[in-house]
Amino acid sequence: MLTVEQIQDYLPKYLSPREQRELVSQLRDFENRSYYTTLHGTEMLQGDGWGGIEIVNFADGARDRIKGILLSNSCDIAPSNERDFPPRIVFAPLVLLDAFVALLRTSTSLQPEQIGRKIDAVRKQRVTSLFYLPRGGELDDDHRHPFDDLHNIPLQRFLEAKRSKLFTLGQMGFYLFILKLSIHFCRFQEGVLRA
Amino acid sequence: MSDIGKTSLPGSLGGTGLAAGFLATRLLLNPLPFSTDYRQSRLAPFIDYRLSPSSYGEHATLFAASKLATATSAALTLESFYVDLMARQERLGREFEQVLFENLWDLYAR
Repeated sequence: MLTVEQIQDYLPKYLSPREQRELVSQLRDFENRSYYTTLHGTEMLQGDGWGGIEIVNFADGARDRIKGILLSNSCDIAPSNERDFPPRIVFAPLVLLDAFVALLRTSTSLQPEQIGRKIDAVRKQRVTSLFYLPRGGELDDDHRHPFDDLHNIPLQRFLEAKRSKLFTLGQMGFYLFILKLSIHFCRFQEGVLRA
Repeated sequence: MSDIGKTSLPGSLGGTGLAAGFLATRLLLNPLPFSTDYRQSRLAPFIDYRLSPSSYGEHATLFAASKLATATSAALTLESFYVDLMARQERLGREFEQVLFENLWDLYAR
């Protein structure tokens, strides 16, 4: 878990104290706020949504192009940065929430109230393994992505493909994304004695 | 029109003296952590002087110290939001994960 000192370090220094407070107040009200910004329409940034990302099905080798969210750090994927080895982009495919709900409704073991409660928890960012993305930007419907379904492709391949930007996370959306990412991947209190 | 006389401050402190004074102030006001009780002993209201904006440069302000408390309170509020968010986390659940796992490739947004 992050400590207050670490959070202090990670609050954006380019924001004034008033803007930092505004960011926190937006986070507290995230269910009623937009996750997205109209800035950075063409840049590749962490938390971006892109369409046309090539993906390979590990089970049968099939290939397709899907919508996904970039997890790599912005500077790690900036084409202008020099590197010793060809970089790869880590991304997570997006899943259409309605399509998932429709499938859940066909399940005989799930009651409609159970499904409703779970989808409500997804929308409130309470499901550890998922990040919920409300419609907005070029996303015409609600989506979510599972943190444990990650893929990567060479940056060059991504740059050469026909792709389109779907959204850029705004300040609040990005912090929410980072906090969920931290909860999913960085659990200092894992309870395993390692020494 | 009145003349305002300007007098330079005596330079007896010198660069080294200033640096030593600054270091001593930091250590006295903001001691380094000694134990695991460190965090508990420094919860709000604490001001971290390392975060004090410089009085030199484009963001210079004579009242920088007054902004520190608000910056810290933003961090504390963010921490409480983070703790809240973490405390409310739940698993997707076996039945839900099964549906997701069995249909994942088809569920990808294209």
